[in-house]
Amino acid sequence: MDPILSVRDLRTEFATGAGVARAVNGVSFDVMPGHVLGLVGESGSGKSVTGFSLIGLVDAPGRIVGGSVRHRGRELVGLPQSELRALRGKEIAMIFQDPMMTLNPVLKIGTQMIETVLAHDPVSRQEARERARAALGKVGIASPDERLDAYPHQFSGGMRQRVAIAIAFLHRPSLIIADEPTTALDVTIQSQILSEMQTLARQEQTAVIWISHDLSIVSGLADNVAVMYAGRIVEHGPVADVLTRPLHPYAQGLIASVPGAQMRGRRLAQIDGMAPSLLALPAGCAFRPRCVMAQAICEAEPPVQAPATGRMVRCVLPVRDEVAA
Amino acid sequence: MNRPAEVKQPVVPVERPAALSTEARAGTVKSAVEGGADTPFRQALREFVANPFAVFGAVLLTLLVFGAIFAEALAPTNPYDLTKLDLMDALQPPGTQNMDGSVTFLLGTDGQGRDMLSAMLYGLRTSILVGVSSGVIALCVGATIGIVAAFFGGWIDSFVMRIVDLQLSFPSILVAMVLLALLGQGVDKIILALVIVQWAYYARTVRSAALVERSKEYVEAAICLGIGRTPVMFRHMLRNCLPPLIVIATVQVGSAISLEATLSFLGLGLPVTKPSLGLLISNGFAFLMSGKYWISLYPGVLLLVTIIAINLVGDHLRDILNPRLKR
Repeated sequence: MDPILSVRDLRTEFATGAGVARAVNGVSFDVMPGHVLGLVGESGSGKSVTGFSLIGLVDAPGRIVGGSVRHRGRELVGLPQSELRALRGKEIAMIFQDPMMTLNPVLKIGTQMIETVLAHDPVSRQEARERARAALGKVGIASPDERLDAYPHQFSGGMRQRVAIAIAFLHRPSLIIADEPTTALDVTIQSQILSEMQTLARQEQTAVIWISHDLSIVSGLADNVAVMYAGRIVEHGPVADVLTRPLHPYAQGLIASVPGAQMRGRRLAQIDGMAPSLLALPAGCAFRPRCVMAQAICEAEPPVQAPATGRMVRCVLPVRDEVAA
Repeated sequence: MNRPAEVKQPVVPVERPAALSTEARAGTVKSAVEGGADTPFRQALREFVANPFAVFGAVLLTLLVFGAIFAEALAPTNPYDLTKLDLMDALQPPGTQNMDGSVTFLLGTDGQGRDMLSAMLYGLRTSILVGVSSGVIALCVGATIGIVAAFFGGWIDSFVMRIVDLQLSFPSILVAMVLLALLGQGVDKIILALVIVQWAYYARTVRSAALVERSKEYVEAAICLGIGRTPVMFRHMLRNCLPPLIVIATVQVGSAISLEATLSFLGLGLPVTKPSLGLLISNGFAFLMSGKYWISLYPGVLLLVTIIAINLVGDHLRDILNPRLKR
């Protein structure tokens, strides 16, 4: 099966007054049709910028300086804006973190949905409204006809995110980039939204790139997970393998810091130090200053190892045998 | 909209327990919609009505606009029908009684025997027409330029805003006088001159509001949905820039009317056959020293009242729509 999206050595830089920030520094991954890729990392690790880079939406002073993004085999990097626009929302949709912010407060939900339909399909307003209505019904919004004439502030947070999801699925895109869509919601709503996303994505055979800093969400949702640190993917693999047997010290630290039932009363494990400034990355492995296993050799560019099919780790440490087995 | 939410009800912040797992499907959603039905527009309207000065200004303004629109029906005589003018009626003071004790010229007559009240109603119409139409055109031009500058940023923004700065650094009366000296007289010419003087105010206001909107996520989201630049700018962003735009438009129409009056008083702009309030004031100016005050005074009072009414409305709109003054 061919991947729906294939990213190779993607590089996005921000030219700031203090220097060049390499927010995305050689990221590569594939997304298979209907699969969910979890992109995890802490704030500033470049997850969101990666998401925006995929659809060519990096605002100045940022710009994509290299690499390739292929969607169904078609190169997206360097594509003119007009062709990218035809793709956005139609083939690749996005869902954002804060649904209060992503819906226009002064336009009715219906107006915004109909507009999205008409932006890509030359159908009648009636037909567009019908599609919007159906989409709202699909994400479990009661009496969608009435809801179409409501404004965003008349919805609760969870409902707004449902609307945002409905809009993202309007054109049955082949890929949805979800940028922390549940972070702003409380836990119960979060789990509903998650299961709804999962069901919809499965129904429509939509691939999802789920950007998150929450490993527990990704573990229940994703097929594959990529761990980002300082603009690079440091570990990548099937979600079960990565979460149970992380190879990279950073991934190990992240997973150890997730609170679990067996650790009641004990201090949570944490990774000392802070994420480095993208303007002053340490030479070699960016994680070196915080790594408990750092050695002199880490000052050199860490090698990429592929210990098993579908797994990747960017570290000098020898891969232990039980993983490879 | 004829939902039951229309019924005025106390504004209760609806913080529902989000833990209701059925919340999206069950009837609880209904109550959320009703609680939030107090649209910003209705809220602003209620605040506006609560202020007596604002209501006074609005009522006054409505009456004046009404009088201007129906000047032909309301005016006792047609002041520009030369066949009806009688020089014998010239310079009658207000309230001059006819032989039978009736009063024809309530506010007196001017040097040609025109009824001042009629001339003022016609003049008010010209003044408001010029003020509003130049305001609307300048708003369209300025808002477009401002939103394009804010949307694209970079050198387009800098270039446009430097022109705005340059424009605003000259006194508007000076610019208008230069333009009218070049263009000549006529209603269209003075509207054009006022548009050129005013567009920069709108452009600057819209740009600053649009810059705030530009950084909001809904704009990014709309772009991510593949919606074109033009609808994003004019449907999404411009609508959110409306509050400051409404305020500046009200104030600018007021200042356009007074600027036009100034220009007409100076003899620039409007032709004598279509006098505005400013020209009426100017006509009576020569008689002022001889005690025939009414020819200048009454149009002056009318002009003053019009501008005060507009500013009362504008000031209170600003208070209501300015988020920084919100308690």
